[in-house]
Amino acid sequence: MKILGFIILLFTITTYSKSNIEMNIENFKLDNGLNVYLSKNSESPTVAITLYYKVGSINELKNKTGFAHLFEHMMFQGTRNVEKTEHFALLQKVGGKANAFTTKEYTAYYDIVTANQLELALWLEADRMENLSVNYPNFKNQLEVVKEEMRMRYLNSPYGNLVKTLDRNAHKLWNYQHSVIGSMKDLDSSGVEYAKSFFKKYYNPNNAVLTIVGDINKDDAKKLVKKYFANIKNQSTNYSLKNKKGKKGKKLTTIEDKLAKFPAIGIAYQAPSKTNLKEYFAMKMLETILFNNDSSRLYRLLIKDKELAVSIYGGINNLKSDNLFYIFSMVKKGNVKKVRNLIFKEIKNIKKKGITEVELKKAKLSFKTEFIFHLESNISKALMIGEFSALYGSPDEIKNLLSIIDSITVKDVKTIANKYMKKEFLTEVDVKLAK
Amino acid sequence: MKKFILLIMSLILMNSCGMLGTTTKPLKKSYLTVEVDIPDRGMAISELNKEAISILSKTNLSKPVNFEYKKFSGNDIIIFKNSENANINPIKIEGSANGYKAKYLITHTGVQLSKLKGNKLVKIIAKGNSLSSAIETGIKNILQKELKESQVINISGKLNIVNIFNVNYGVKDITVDFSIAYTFKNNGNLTAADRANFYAEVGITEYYKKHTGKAYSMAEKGINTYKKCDKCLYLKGILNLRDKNYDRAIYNLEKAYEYNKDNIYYCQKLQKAYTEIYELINTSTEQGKKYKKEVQAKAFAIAAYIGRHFNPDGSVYIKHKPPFSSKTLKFNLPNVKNTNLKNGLLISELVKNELPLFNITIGFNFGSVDNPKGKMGMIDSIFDLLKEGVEGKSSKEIANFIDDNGLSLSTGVTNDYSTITCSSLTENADKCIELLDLLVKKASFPNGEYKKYMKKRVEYYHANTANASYLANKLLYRLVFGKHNYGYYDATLKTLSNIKLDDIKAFYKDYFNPKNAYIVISGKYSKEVLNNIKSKFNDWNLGKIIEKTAKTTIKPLKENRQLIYVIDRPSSKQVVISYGQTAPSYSSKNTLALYMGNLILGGSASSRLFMRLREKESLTYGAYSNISAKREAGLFKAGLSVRNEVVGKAVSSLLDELKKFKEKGIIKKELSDKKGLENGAFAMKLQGFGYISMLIKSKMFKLPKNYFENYLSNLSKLTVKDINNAVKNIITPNKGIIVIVGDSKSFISQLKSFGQVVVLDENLKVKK
Repeated sequence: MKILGFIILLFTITTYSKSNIEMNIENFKLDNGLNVYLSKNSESPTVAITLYYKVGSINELKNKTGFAHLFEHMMFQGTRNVEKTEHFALLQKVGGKANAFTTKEYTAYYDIVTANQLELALWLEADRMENLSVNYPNFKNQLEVVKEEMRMRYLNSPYGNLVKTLDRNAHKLWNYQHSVIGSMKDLDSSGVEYAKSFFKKYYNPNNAVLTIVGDINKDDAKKLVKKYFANIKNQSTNYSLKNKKGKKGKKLTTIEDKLAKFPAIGIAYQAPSKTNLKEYFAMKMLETILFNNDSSRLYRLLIKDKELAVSIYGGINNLKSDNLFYIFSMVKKGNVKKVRNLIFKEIKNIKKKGITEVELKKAKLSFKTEFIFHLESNISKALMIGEFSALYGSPDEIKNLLSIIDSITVKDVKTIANKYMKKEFLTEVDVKLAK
Repeated sequence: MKKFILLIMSLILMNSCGMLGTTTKPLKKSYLTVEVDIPDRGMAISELNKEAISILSKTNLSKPVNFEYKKFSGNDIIIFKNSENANINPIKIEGSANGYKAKYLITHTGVQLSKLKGNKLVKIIAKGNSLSSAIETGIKNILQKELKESQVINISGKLNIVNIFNVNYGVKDITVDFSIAYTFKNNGNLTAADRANFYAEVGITEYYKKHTGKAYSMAEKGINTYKKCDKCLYLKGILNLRDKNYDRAIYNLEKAYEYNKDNIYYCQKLQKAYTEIYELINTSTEQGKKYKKEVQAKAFAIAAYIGRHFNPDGSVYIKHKPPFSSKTLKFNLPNVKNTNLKNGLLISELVKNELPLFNITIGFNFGSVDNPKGKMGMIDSIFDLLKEGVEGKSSKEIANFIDDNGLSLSTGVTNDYSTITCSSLTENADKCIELLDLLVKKASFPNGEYKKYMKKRVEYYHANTANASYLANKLLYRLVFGKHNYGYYDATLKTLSNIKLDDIKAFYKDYFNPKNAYIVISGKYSKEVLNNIKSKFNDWNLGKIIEKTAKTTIKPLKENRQLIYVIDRPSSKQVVISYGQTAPSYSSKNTLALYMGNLILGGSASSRLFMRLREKESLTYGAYSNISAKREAGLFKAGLSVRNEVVGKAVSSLLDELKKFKEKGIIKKELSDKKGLENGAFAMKLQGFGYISMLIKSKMFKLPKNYFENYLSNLSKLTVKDINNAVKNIITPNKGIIVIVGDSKSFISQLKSFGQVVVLDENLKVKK
């Protein structure tokens, strides 16, 4: 029950392998439109299930920001058959786990169980898709819980406002400008009736993707999916999203942070999305070459050699539209200007001279290794399949990542840097310390 | 003027009541049959809402209700108890719901009746508006019949089914709690609350006799005697409800509930009032509209809540049961092959052939507790500095070596042991081995890198202090463990300044050797890779064994010490509350019992703390506890983050849960649920490379042979008693300390009832 933060987003489905990794995915669709993927992995006696609903904060109305995430909490508040919070308790009773997260573009629920309890997990997911019970006391309870989450993650944490401000100014569309956690005022303005209509509108089989990965018998799993999901009726068919153009944000904003101990820099460039995988992964290479490894250019320069910054990190986000490439740095006092200049100098350098073959080789190997480690775990494989299918209609592209990444050249990376890392695509936020 | 004594005895049947005196008048055994009529929709809904109905659809009281008549301190007391505790057995019941009516009839089987005939049964059929009230009435009738010659002038009672375990899943343990109130004509003193309660009892009797005027005047009399008389307010509320005066009904019932939140009837009647308002809003718009928005919202919400119990045609919705698998999960622990090198170094192999991955981990038998006095932070600095230079390679060359080969290097320093891990694709396994070989044998600790690193540590320290939880932990560890090294949550500026390059080099030279190390390799790899490891580490020079004797004793906290410490962080927008106390070390025989006890208290999102503080009281995003058993001691911690306005309430609820945990312990269902959780969690840990860390820990803590092989069977043997005994002696709020971090002026007044509070600044200096 969390908001998937920026950093975690960076690590999903970003790598590939030239090795012959068999994804071993079987796909079928129920008559009600539920898209189902099965993948067998008998390494350990466990199964991971993910259920992606194609609704995130981009679907929210102007005075209802934060609602998609609040609603994610409501999905744990009971159904006609399951009491409040019993979803957790029933799974835990047999050693299972469950959680969920909301992003700008989707809401994902997952359950991890021992192989013999697959039916229980499917029953629970189907039950809440069909029979969710929304009532006032539970709604009020979760409203307060989400407000506490907002305080904990954003209001009471240093730099809690940085990504929020950067997103508001850098995204072109209103739908992407507001944060997933939303505003307290908007949350307060929602209610039980709205929650019910939201459920009807988005939580339907034809707007969801179910993935099962683990120690399963595919035929048995298929039967169970049909048994529990096939009779769920759709209450909506229209999921068209109205993208609204957002208010143009400031190119450079300075915010004061009373909790931070070091000033910080936030930089965002407009970036390609995964609808163009070649461009997306060329940009992804750039992220590793700039700062994600110990031998990366900006890490060596700012942290190790010149000792001007405390940290440097970032990378390309994972959005289907209006995507961004971020750079963040916590800077030693008095060095903000120097650090910013050095970051831009390095970007200019890459735009002019490009990267080396050695750097690209390292970045590719880093992705390859990370990708195969992802496949090691049932849940990360299920999340990978679910996300690709929810955003791009199918996980087929996962197979193609191999050749796409392999085909990226040093020239591609230079080209992508020149295409996107331009002044007109740049937004900056400075965090200064409170006096 | 007559004086009355009212005695209210609440007996949980599991317990005996040792303070009672001798029996003076044994009574005949009686037998009770209960009929329940549910006259209107509200009540039907209310009844159907109760879990009790679902269990009672399968069960019945199998034995007669026995009671004894005793004398205690000059007053007469009657104790009721079910002759055998928790033995409610399945029996026939007929239930149906028809429109707005539902009827439940509970009878015994013929076999049981014949067994009971010899006991000269007094069979009483009682009716009531609810199952509980019918049983109450039955009990009252028995009493009236048996005690008609006595001096009892009023008897009232209530029955609550307080615990129903695993209703849906076939387990039928039930605890029944009888609370009986009865009045005698003996001499004694009566408080205002007692007198008011008595008026309410009389009034309720009148209400059932449909003497509403008399009932109302008794309720009024009661409230005039004692304005917080919950029963009187309840009586007024149900009379208002009967008169369809919903505003007054809600007012009185909410007040009753406010003064006694344990009484489920108050809640149910309140729900009934709102349900009727909901119907009014839908059918009579003018009348419905007059209610305030808040009342309307509640009415809608409650209607929505109970709506799930009915189908659209008005028939009762039958809940589906979760499809638990009865199949036992069979799995084996991964095969581990051990090899001892000539220098004594143990290598464990965990072969996995699914994916082309490789992992090598070296565990070292020293952790932060082994830092020299005043040099906390030294050992983790050593691990961080390993990759900043080895013989023949600079920091930059090592970084390039790691990235050129797609290696992933990580280190971890716990209180008691440390690890260094390299993972890679199988094709680069030899590079991982080469890297670790260099780092653990040939680190050079260049002076320039050391200086840079120490500066960076200071920066990290400052960055961390921006985090409220970090500040809370820093103080809490110090208060709980005092001057022992466990008392350092992290290094401090002072201890960092004490760490000299020579200290680092000397420790590395002395202790990074096979005598203190253990290697685990895992993944898909060839024989050549194994041979490479063997040949590399065979010539690892021996050195000193780390001494594992405690250097500082942990002094127990004083009984009358300060309970609450506040760190003032004026910019805070939320308050971090953290409770801590010492717990047993890893070698304690209670480790497993305490671990499981903690799972029940606060170890998961279905534990008590989470359920109460988040799901019930809406105070926090998450409330958890955790128990970590270390080599020389353990730490029990609980905590949550809350908004400024509810700090006092949160501390009070947290302490209350700890107190209940200590005093009342756990129950069987909680243990069986969490055993299920741990069984599954154990299977999950085996996924991926999870077993490596388990092997390392078992070696470092010298766990018994076959510890993991026997883990699940030891878990299954654990009893409620084992946990309650462990918890009782160890986890106690009397031994704990609370650290609160936030904007102190916004909540300090809420802490008055907890005694004196010490306020410190962010540098942990006491504020004047």
